[in-house]
Amino acid sequence: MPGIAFHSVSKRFGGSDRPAVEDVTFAVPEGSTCMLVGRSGAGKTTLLRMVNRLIEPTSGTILVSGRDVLEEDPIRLRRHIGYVIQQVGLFPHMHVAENIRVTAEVGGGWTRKRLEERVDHLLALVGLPASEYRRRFPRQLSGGQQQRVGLARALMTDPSILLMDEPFGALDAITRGQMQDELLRIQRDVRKTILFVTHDIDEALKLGSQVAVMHHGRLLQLGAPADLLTGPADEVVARLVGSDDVLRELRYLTASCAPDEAFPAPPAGSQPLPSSPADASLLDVMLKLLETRAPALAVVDADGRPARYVTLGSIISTLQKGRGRQ
Amino acid sequence: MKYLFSPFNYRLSDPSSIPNLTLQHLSIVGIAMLFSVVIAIPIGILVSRYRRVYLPVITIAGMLYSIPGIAFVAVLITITGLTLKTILVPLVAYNQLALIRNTVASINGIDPALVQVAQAIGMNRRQTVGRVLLPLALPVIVAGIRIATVTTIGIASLAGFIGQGGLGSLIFINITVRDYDAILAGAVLLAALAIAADVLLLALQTALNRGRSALTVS
Repeated sequence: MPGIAFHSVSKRFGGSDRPAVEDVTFAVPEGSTCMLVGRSGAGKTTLLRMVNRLIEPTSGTILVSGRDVLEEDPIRLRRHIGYVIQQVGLFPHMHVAENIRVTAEVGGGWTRKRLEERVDHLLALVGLPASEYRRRFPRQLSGGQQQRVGLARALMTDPSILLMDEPFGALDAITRGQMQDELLRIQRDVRKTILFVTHDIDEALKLGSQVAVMHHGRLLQLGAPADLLTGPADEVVARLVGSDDVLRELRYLTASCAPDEAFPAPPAGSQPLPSSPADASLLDVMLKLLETRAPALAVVDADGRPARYVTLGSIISTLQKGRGRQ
Repeated sequence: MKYLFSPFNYRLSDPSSIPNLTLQHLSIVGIAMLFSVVIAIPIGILVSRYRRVYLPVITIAGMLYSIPGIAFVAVLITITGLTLKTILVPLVAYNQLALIRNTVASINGIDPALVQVAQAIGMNRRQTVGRVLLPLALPVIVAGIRIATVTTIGIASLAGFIGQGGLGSLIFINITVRDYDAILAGAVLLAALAIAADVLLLALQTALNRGRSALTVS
């Protein structure tokens, strides 16, 4: 059962001649991260807000954990969905611990002790030592720290679904990169179904298990980052993901994208070939090949046995595959 | 300053002793503030909802504020006579400008994104008002109450002018007998009362303003 599923969802705002979201159908598998990417006005945020009914769809159905959101009480529904927005989202009159526990308090049913323990656990998870940060107010935190608190707040009630609306949009490039790494780390532990809105294609390719490209309210393409780079559905997607950007391709395509080279196993006693796991980026693979001057690199399976081989030639042909579409 | 320090002027049995006049003054200010707040805050909330009425409402409050105190009281004497009403009406009228303006500013100053977050994390209407809107608006509303209270303490001295007591009577009664020491005592006490109220309300305002920059304290 998918974490979130959209079935021909449309939204038309009064006074607008074209729909903000038009006939969107796709599903986010449970525990995966789906990035909604597109320019401003593409309908990303509208689609996101329909999940917790901050906006009501004009037509179509949205299922969260298999249940139609329109049949749920909106307040109860929202208490079971984490929500993170740009740094403005922290309440300025509450200190860090209050800001985090408030999501649990509004729903009720928590003992004081459990609230405090959960807050401390989450602060540790997002990398802010509780003893130091519990009683600070949002204005005493940096942008990145505020966003960590925002993430902790969204995780307070341990929802299975997280909605994130450009959470790192207001951060400087370095902090944004760190927060993206943190999110990847945290997501490895918590395995939430995440729907994440961004207009930053690099962020989408870096964080997403799936990327949904939206344009003028429509879903143009849904696929893994590598699929978008190697097989953009049309001109708009190609331009947006910049599939002619060699560095970007090297960074987000993985070793498993490169065609298998029929490479004879090296004779015993010779220099062993360098190796990489299947999810290493082509950039890492290429750098290893260049550094070691080895003729090929072994892509190893989970047990560390070489499954296939990649050469500089196969990397080049992978890059050309994407280019062929242009 | 003999008047101020003479124990003779502190006998509780004498209705015109300093403690009794001070108490009387404070009760006039208290009643006036109570009526002012009860009228102005609902108006302020309504005005922040319906922006179109802001200008007319503020213009009327500004016009009321511009009427000189003595003239206001003099006109009211012809209607309500030498009663407490004659002093309460101008006091309540003067307070409307500061109170309505600050109430509107306090509500308009709340970041709409915060209201949306409140909604998104599943707060119901009551929780949104109690946990977000009220705590955010209160410091600015209290700032308005502070300004209004300090002015009211001063203008309430006109109660002495129409025989309704208060610290103003120390001034008005003793002008006729040219007891300058008593007049000075009245003025000093009024000033002390105004400063004390200002300091107390500022402390309340600062306490309510927790977590936010001191710069927002106006």
